[in-house]
Amino acid sequence: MMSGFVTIESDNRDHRKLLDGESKDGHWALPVDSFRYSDGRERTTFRLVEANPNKPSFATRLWVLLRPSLISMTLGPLFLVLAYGRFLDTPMNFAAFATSFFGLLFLHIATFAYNDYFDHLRGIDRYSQDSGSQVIQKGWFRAKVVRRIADVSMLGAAVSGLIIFVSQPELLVLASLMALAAAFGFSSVRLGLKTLGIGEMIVFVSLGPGLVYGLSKAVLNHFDISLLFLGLLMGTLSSLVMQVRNWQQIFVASRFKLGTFVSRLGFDRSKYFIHLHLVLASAYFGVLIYSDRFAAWAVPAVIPLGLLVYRFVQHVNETASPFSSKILNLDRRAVRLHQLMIVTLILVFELTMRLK
Amino acid sequence: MKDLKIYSRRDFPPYLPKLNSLYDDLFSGGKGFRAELIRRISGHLGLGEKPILLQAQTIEFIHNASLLHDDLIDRSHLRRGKPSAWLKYTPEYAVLAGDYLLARVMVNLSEYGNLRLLQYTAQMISDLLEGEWIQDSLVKDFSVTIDQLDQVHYLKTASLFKWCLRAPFLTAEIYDEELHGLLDQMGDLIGLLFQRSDDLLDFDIRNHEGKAVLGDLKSGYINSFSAVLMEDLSKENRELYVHCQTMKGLREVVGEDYFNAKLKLFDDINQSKIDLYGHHLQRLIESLPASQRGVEKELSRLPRILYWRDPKA
Repeated sequence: MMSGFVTIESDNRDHRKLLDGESKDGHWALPVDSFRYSDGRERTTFRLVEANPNKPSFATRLWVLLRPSLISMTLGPLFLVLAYGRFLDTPMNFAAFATSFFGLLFLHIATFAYNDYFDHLRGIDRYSQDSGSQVIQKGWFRAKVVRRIADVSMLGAAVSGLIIFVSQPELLVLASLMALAAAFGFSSVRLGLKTLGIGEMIVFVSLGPGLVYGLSKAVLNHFDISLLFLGLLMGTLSSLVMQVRNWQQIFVASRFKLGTFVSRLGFDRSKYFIHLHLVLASAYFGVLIYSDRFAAWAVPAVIPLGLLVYRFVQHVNETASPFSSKILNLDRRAVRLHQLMIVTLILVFELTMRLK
Repeated sequence: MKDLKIYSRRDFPPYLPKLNSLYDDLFSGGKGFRAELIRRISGHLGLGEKPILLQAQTIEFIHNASLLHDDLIDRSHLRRGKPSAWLKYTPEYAVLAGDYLLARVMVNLSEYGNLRLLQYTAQMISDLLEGEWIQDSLVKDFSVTIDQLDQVHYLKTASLFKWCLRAPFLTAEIYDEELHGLLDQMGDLIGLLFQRSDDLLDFDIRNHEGKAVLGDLKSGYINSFSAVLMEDLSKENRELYVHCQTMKGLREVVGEDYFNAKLKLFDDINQSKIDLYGHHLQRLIESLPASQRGVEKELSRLPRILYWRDPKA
């Protein structure tokens, strides 16, 4: 299968073409290592291979690219808002629900496809084989195809967002604030806001209170204190997933000088930070589920979650280093916690409503 | 050029009890491969005897300091067929002797006055210690993957090989960024290949030196070939595997065909690394001036020596 290597510098016109996965003499070019000059230029060595004959079907490859395991982080809050609306017996805007659904789905695809593409360009996924979906590194998709999927999805997300904003103009203010925070957080390198945890805060707000507020206003035209706690809970759990990912990547982040909050805290102190997320999530969940609106029978609902949290804490505590095998699937455990939380809450909303 | 004498009692204070005896034991029996590699590369760069000896001592002192610390961390009882320093001279003396070697390296390099060489050496020691630190956290971790181990080996093993390739050029005051980037990548590859080959010795593969087998596994450390071997084993067989005490027993647990298939896979993976090394070597040849040609002869033999352990190479 292998047919040689080619090394090329980033100021060569062919560099970007090869990084984008364009073929050279009918071969795929997969980056295998790179060297960054002090002036920022990069020299990349590509392995030229014949198209991967064992790649799975297009649908399977697309499925892997979409990171289905993380979809609960984007679509979960929408279904929670829907379940809460049913619980309150609030009239629902189905057109807004459908638009939000597709908008979030497109946004999810775009976010992770862009992430794969740009991490591939920066060489991060080459360094850590546990990073991203690895569809480019495995030769399943050319990088430019991943970029195209991201662009089309972002367009779909923008169109869906526009429809919602036209019908709910006040949400534009929220969206603008979030965009402003994102721009500051990620572009102002000099201020160092990214390293001060602004990026993490954006994830917390945009996948937590911000998202729940936007969705509940769009779909239910209603917002109350329970929804605020719901937003805080979703934000905290999404932040937990992100912190765990950063914790897993702490070595790569340090070597690439990507100043995440976790890498500033250090490996051991980050354990407390991760535990803090669990304490906060438990508190929000407690307030939400045991407020007087819910029946006492909801108490047992906490048992499976409690068990999962216990095992998660145990796993974090047993992780000896960023190279320990214990750390390998920790992000999946965090996602499972997020998913079980959503399922539990939907069940509680639904059953409480039916038993009222 | 006459043979290098890396260690001399005269280089160390005579008034420190046990130090010279400990170093006598430590430095006898080593192959000095890294020092020899430096000597050969330096010879093609026109370096004199003194700077070559400085580099050779530097790498051997650092390597031996790491062995002193390693043996204590791993509680290894033997080093090169003799009792380990921590057993013979107490753990405290072993730690101090290792630290003293590292300090000597810094003193020698500072006296020589090449700041770039000094900075790079300090960075290499730092990488080496990071690797040691992380490796210790992997003991009894029976689910570690080869990718995770690679990261440790880049720090712990490859850092020394990179130094061997780059230090002669730094000593010759050749600082070209592109050249050093290339040597860095080649050093990474050759260091990783050496480590993986060393891991195979533990399974009596190409073990021409007759090194003790299954030492890593018995001390609870999953090495790179172990990680590949364990990948597709059932939970029950994994449990049996980690308790294997002999190669015969291990081959029975995993099955002869399975073992051979995994060995072939491992060699194929590493052959692709050797191919990449060959590609970088070709680029190095193209970039070296005629006066430095000859370096490539030394470098081209390395995969055969360090991975395939070819005694004729």
